[in-house]
Amino acid sequence: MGSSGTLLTLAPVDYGIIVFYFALVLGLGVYLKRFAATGEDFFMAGHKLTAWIAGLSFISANLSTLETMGWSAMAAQDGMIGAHAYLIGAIPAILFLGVVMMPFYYISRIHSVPGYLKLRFGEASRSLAGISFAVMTIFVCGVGMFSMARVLNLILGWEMQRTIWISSLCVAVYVMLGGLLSAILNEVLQYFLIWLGLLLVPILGLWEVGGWHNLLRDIDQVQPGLTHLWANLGSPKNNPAGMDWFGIVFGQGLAISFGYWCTDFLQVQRVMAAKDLRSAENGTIIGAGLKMLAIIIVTIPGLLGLAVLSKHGIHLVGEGAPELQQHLPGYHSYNDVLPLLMCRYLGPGLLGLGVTAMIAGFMSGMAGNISAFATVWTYDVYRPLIRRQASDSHYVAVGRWSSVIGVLIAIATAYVCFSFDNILQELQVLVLFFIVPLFGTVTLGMLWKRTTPAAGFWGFLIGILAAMGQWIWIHLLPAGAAGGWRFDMGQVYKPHVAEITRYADAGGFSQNTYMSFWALLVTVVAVVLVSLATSPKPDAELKNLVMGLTPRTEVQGPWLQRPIFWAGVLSLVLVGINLYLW
Amino acid sequence: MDRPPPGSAPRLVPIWLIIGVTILLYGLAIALTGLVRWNHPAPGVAMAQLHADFWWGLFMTALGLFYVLRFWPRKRP
Repeated sequence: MGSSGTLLTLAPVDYGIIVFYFALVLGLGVYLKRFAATGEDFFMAGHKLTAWIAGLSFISANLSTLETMGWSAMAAQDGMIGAHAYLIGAIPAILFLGVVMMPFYYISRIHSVPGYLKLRFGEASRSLAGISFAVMTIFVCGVGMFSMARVLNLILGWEMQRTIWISSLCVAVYVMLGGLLSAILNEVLQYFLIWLGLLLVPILGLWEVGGWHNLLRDIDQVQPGLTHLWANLGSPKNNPAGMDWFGIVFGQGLAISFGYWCTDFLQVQRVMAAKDLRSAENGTIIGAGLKMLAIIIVTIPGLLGLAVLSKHGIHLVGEGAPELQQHLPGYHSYNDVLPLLMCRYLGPGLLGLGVTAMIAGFMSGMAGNISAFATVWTYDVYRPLIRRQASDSHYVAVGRWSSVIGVLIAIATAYVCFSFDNILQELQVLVLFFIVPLFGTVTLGMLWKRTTPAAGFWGFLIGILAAMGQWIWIHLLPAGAAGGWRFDMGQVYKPHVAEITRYADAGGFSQNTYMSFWALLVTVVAVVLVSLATSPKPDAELKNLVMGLTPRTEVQGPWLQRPIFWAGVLSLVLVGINLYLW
Repeated sequence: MDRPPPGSAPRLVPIWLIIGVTILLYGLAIALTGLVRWNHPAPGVAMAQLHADFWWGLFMTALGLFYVLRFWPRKRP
């Protein structure tokens, strides 16, 4: 434990490792400026990425520190259920993106997901998606900045304002100079750092407890019922997450996961920048494999926190627990589980690498959001709505400056997050509002040629309103004896929660999965009904945009190089892991 | 990353080389720290008897060296 109430104390070698990282990413930005002169280079990394770089970047953009700390915390709190995020909560959707959706994205040569909406449904849908995505991206970036500052303040005692400004200006500089290529190279670098920095935690932890089976036995002794993926999901009363199988399968596995992985442009942009369709598809499949592996450095540390820390006088509790508010010694938030284990197992040098991995995870997450924001703002908001005809260099300049302005707006929004009690919840609420309805709209547009432009716009809008409406509904509380209602973002009204989740004590994560499912259902119903009532586009205008009107683009070559083969292999692995951890 | 034809655009240093150099330098720093602290492990670190810092640093050094040698730019024919 560090001095002055912080979790960690760094040695000079640790600071050396951190300073080297900052110098490296700034140097990379300066170096890459010469490779980002045109719009194609700046926004799409010149369409030069190999499958491995696209896949590593695709998954690295997701494997942020917010993600690793958040899901480790969930594993420490709710046990093995937290691993669903790396299994049914991701893999089917990533494989669907690679095998089904990627050909449409790639063949239509669009710069962004809203760009697909323009071709398929028209300008109104594109503008709605572009503006909502730009807002969401900047807010997520602000959440990332704030979280980084809070985490580094908590574990190292670093001053929050300074952390926010130094890290975000560093991100602004390297994205402004090198564009998407700079963001992607930093993401690949971050991927290696995060594995090398964190892999020793599960290795040494498992060594200490005597292996996997002893870990499960120890967890059962601390709190029974936390070592299964599915066995306790028959009823929400059977697990601390208040979750049931329906929420996991249809909320997390279908609505949130498919929305996030298939239509969140931050993710999709990485594989769309691949050098050809085969690399784009294979990069996505590689990403699915890497995503499953992340259980090792995320879920296992969370489980170790359950088994090991309590034996050494450390008690993990929820963020709002009275023990934390009273600053009782030995009590920590679940969100601290990863730093606590780093503190336990990593000495000088290794600790510097682990902290650098965390910083890199935060910064590349911010850079990913900023580069996606710059692309969508420039191509889907600025060009169609503000200045239609301008030179390529003008749009590159807009992209560069929007990167900087995006960072500044994100800094300004960083403090909106104070009233939430779990790091991941804000992200899921945002996914719920925009990405889930977007997935419903885009997928129907791709798979059903009868989907009309009016349905694309109204279905998407109605889906957003349905998601927001549910969120407002669960936060509406009776105002008191005088009657009426009051809105409180920090509290939920249990009778309203029960109406949506069928369980009044459902936790925040469970609420989000159910709200996502209902939002997706409302979107699909709205798109279908409006489509049946309005006129579709003629087939000639839907070529390369809709299944059945797009030539088969199956990647040829040896079967070992075919995405469909590896998608099949990963599906079998997914089933095997689920059965083993049932 | 695809490389442009000789003599055309500026040539991008392979990302794998950058990663290799970074891992190599970090590995050396960590292995040396582990060696210096072999008999004086940092207080409070569990499993210190395994000298994970030294061995992990050595592993990283080897991994970084592999990437550096494999992706070091060679002269064009």
